[in-house]
Amino acid sequence: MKRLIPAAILLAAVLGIYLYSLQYVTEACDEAKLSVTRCENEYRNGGNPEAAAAELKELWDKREGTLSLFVNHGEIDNFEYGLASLTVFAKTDEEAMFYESIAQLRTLLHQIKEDTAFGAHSIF
Amino acid sequence: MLFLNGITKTDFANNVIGDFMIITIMRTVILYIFVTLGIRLMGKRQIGEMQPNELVVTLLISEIAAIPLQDTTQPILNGVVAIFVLVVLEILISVLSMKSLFMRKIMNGKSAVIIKNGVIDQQAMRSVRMTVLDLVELLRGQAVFDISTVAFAVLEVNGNLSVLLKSGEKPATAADLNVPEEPALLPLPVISDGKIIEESLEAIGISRGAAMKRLKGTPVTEIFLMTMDRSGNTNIIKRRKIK
Repeated sequence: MKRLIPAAILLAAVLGIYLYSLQYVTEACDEAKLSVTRCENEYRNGGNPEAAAAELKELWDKREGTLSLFVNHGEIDNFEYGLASLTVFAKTDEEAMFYESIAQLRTLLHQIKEDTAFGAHSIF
Repeated sequence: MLFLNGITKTDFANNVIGDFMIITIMRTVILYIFVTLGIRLMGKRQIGEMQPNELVVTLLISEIAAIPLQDTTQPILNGVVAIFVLVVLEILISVLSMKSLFMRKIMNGKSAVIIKNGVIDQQAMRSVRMTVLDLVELLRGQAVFDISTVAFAVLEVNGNLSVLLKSGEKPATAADLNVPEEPALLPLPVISDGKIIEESLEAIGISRGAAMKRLKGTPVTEIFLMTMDRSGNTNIIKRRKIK
């Protein structure tokens, strides 16, 4: 019994951390995905994609610190590289490069979310 | 001198390498604390006394702790969570093993009688995949050089061999010789490396002053080890000056 109590506390802490990380990562990825779509729409409709990209960067910078507790830092770095490309191509007329950046960011967000979520893909 | 895009070699060394080293140091300290905590929660066991499941957990913990240390892109939390899950599993399995004989058999296996009345059980040896040379070596480790003197030899689940000698081969005890039994007194270290251990004095039931009298004026700092038991038997080893 003496050892079961710390074990139960540890188990509860581990489960708590997992649930919090799942909720945080999902929320951050969903928010970022929405922001990516907004940026894409702005570009397509001749709006202000630069502002949308800046907004995405701001959002990511806010989430990055906590995300690095749960997500592989390499994946976070890759997202930042993609975000830097998006910021550059949002200012230019290079449509193909812009859409490539958008697709890359979406894939990375999907991957981050999938790696955290409980499922066969993340377990095996 | 410029090294990379306007960065000098000194800047690179001071900032990049410096930061990286601090990250590694911090990660090592954090993981060390968590691994120590985990092992402490699992309880005290020596490597040689580990049950199979404990050995597996210990090996896995060391491997898991090494990953975030070597790869700084891995969140440290992944390692810590994995270590804690292993500790929880180990505690649960050890509690279940205590409660259920069936669970104990599954997780730890069961001991095997290798020698009965001086005769080797070859079937048992084959089932535990033990050679005669292994057996002889283990017997020698128990100061047994003649198999015929062994009443029972049991191979325990942790790999140790427990040996019971035939009654005629056992060393004579005080009871055999009708020597009156004296209560066993445990000598405790009262001074260790020039420092008084108050807990030992309390356990023996002797005052600090009474213990100091035994030093006959020698300063405590000059004492390397002093042991005492409840009846007052004292052993003093003075500190030697080592060049």
